[in-house]
Amino acid sequence: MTQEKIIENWVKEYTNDLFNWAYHKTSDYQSAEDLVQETFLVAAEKIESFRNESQPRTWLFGILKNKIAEYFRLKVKHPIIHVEKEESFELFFDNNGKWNKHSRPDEWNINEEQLFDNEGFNHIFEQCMKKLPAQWFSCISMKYLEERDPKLVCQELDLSTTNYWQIIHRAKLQLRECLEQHWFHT
Amino acid sequence: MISCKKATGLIEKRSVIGLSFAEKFQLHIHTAMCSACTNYQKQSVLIDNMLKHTSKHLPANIPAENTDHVSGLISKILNKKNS
Repeated sequence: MTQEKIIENWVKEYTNDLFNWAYHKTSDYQSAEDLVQETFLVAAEKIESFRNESQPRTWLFGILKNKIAEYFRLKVKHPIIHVEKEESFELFFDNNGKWNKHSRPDEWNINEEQLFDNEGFNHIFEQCMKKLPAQWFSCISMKYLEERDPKLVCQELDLSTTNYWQIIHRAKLQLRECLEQHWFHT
Repeated sequence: MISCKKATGLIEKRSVIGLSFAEKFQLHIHTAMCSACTNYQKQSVLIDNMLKHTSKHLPANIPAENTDHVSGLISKILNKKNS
């Protein structure tokens, strides 16, 4: 089989899985399409180095994961929305750093395992993630993408560890409140 | 005593780079007396677990639009390659 033919078969066989994964990570159709196209471009360039030692699927997913990490890095370095630090905290805390009345976390009565498999909750969770500013979304996603050492993630994102956990702090406050409003209080 | 803003910050800092002894102590004292931050602490861990869960599993329901995108994308990639 020619290399062209091999790639063509891979495109037909794996585009579906690669696209769904890229969409799941980025929540954006255009970005997911771009990432999958780039993945096959890299695959076509590097096909010589693919030696049938791994499954094509694993190999392609490896390329895609690198592309996704690169995508998040760019988003963090060039944030589209810039949110002032203090402004975003004011939503949750008063001047003395005490919880505002409407933001005080209530108890959630839940069974974690059932919750994670609940389709309704998964949907709300995804919606709440999408509401995060792009930079925060990228920081949070990078933290869990491959459960890498946070120090390494910071290096990749060009952030100090302090900046990084502060972004995570704001993102988690917003995510938590969104979940409470749309799931636990309804 | 540290504020709730500081306490929740320490909870997130802990999950990223860990805390110094003094910070651990401050957080411990705070959460012992603040039910809202105790709730936050539990929920923060829950959100972490949920994020870990979703980063490994594809959702059970893939949006129907994805299928249309995929067939369009396949022909896009193949046409580009042949041209």
